[in-house]
Amino acid sequence: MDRHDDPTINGDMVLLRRIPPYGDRVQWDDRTGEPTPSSQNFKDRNNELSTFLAAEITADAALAGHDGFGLVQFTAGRVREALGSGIIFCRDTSDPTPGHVIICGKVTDGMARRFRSIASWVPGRWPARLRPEA
Amino acid sequence: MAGSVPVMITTGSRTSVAASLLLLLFAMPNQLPEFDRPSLDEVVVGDQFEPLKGIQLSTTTGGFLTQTASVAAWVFEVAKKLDALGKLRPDWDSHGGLSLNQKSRDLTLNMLGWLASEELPTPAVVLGSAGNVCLEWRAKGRELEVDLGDGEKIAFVKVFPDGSIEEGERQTNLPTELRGLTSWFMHGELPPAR
Repeated sequence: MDRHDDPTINGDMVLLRRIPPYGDRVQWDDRTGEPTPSSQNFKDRNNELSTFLAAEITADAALAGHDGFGLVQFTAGRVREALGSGIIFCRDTSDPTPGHVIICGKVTDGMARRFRSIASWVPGRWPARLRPEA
Repeated sequence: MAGSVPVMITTGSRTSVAASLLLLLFAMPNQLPEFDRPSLDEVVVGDQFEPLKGIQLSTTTGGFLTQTASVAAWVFEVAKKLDALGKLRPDWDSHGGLSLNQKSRDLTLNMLGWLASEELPTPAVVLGSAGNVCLEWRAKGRELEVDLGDGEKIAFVKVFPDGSIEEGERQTNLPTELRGLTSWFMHGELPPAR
């Protein structure tokens, strides 16, 4: 599918991304009990990172059908700063879920680590803490 | 040789497993003759026979290495986590993530063999979107991420205490490269005097 940059997505717009509780994608601090998402949450094998515009979808809707998943947030502007000019923000008009935006472009491991730094948890939307090796 | 092979382990200190270890590790196909790889599914810890639940590290091609040595505890923790990753089905992350890539898994096992005697913290063993394995260490203000990719090469990210980031890829001489990366993680830029 052709992907086209959406110029209406400005730098102040907040985007959401689901974080799975599986695959060691979240590390829990033994001291504070707080979770940290892995950098791998910010890479996609097809270079199409799925997100939602917070202004167009609720957290509940973004997580619907995904028990135990968490939700992080970041602004489009910070993503552009972290990933550079090689990425574009594309509306996924084929998805009936409102506000679906795909961040298109090659994200290296180092870029994913920078991406991780600008993401924060949506309040009250930590993922489930699974037992080790689950 | 095929099928399951029991593995006998005698535990030592909290951070290391002492000698008397028969560890089945997996060598690069071009480094050892080919054998059917055994599975690692049973462990004897001290005097207690204790099945290592869920560990299945068998593959059907390539070689294996039998080693008697001191093996750090984190190696077994990574093996257990790797086994857990192997149970995840496609789309496990809700974003179309693939199941564990066998070549990435095999390279991870090789890495465990190469670094078996290194004293390291237990890393996160993360499944990537492409089914790749990524090991992530974090301590003392430093971070090290090693992405085993599709099993052909590694990519790494170093995060320094000042927050700066260095990334790169390596395709040859992986044992030495990996020891260099973990040495940086544990000791900073300069390796310890020996």
